[in-house]
Amino acid sequence: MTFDFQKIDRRRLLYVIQLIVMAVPLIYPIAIPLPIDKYSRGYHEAIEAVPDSTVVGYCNFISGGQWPLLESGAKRTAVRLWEKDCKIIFFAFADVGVPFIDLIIEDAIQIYEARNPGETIEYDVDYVRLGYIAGLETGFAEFLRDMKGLVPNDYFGTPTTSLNMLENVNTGNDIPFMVWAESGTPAPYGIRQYQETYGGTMVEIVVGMLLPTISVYFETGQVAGAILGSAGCAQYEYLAGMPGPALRLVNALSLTTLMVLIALIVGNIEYLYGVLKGGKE
Amino acid sequence: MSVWQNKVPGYLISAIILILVAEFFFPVPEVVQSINSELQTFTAICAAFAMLLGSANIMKVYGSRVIKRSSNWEYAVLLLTFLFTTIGFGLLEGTGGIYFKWLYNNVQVPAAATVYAIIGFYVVFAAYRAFRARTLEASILLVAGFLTLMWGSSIGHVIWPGIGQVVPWIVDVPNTAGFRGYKIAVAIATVAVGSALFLHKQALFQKAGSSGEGAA
Repeated sequence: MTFDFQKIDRRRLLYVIQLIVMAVPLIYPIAIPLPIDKYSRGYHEAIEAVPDSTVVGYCNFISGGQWPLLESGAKRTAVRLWEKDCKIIFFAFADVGVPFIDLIIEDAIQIYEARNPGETIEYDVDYVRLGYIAGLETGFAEFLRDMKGLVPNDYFGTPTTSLNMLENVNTGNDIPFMVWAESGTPAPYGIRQYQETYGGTMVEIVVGMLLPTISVYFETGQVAGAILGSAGCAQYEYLAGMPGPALRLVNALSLTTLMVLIALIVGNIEYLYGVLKGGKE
Repeated sequence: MSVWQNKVPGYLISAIILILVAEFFFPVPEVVQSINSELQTFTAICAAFAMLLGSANIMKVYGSRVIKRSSNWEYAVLLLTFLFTTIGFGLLEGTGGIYFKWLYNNVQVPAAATVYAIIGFYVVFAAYRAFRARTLEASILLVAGFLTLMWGSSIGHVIWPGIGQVVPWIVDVPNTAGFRGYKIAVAIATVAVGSALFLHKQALFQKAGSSGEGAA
């Protein structure tokens, strides 16, 4: 019986290898050193530099697909801000972001209470929810100009004018810090409308593929720091001293990336070999 | 074409542009500021209505697929069932209700995450099959992509510690230069489109004008 490599279904072979590569570090954890990049470090330092009791805006665009990659950073950011007694205003300019605010708040409260026994997080004291706000960039500009005018009621139908936490919060000038959690597409309008206009500090939670976009704003100081994908979440978990799911997943993702790199090398060697032999591939 | 169809929308757009731009660049009276504020609130309200329009469109497209028994009409039934169920629970108990949240957290979230995760398998196969150094440009992209991927994983730093210096340079220098060029081009194009709208030189008005002449 002879072995013919050409007859192997390479697609299936690659899928099987990848499945094994992903599963092994989840079953048998492997110790791979975790490098901390400047974006995660900047993010951590920006959060730590927020003065106590600051009003923080938290805009969530994260939706189902990216949720497993970014949830850890999104929740731990809220926890750390609450530990600094910050007042968080949760809102979303994408309808898909709203249900995930539920998940961020519910889980962040659990983590907070586990880390700070005896302390609780209360609505209208530590946070408020404004729900979905339509209009994207135009809506955000108006939100920062006249928050209570654009959003007369909170997520639960309570008039925003009657919320104690928002008593002195009316415009972007009253929100010195903004967390912008994005999913797939970059939304630099947050930077345009908030950071450039009101000069507050802005940090972002984004998927790793947005590195080329975020780095441009990071270099100019418009974005103080960023969590880039699950690797960034793992780094933030480590920096904030709140180990969680991202640190457990990071090695599986790291080995999957290695798999992509190997596939790139093998594919190109095969291609060059084909070209040198005179064929098309 | 009547003046209402041809001229009035154009003048309205010009006036709105003037008000919005004026407030951005100059100190304007309070009345202009409040008009500007109202205009932006109108936009948010219109955008909210787009959600309703989107739902109606889904019902129309997939509803007709079910009625005509087109290919894969069973999936359309499933989609419409979930759409109406979700809307029903949303209307009955609000978006914070137990059943609405259960549906979202246990159907939508895992389904979306699964679809996104499956991409990982396709990426590996695409890396093997499609991402090839066929031209000089493709080779540059390949090398930059390869190094950036390597930098993004912990194991990449173990394989080559120097990656920590190389990739930040790629991201900060060539990437930033290219990105800024692109953003400046987009900004200039946006100003050009805005100016064309303001002066009624945009294709929309020219078409309206020409069809109006034809009709006349």
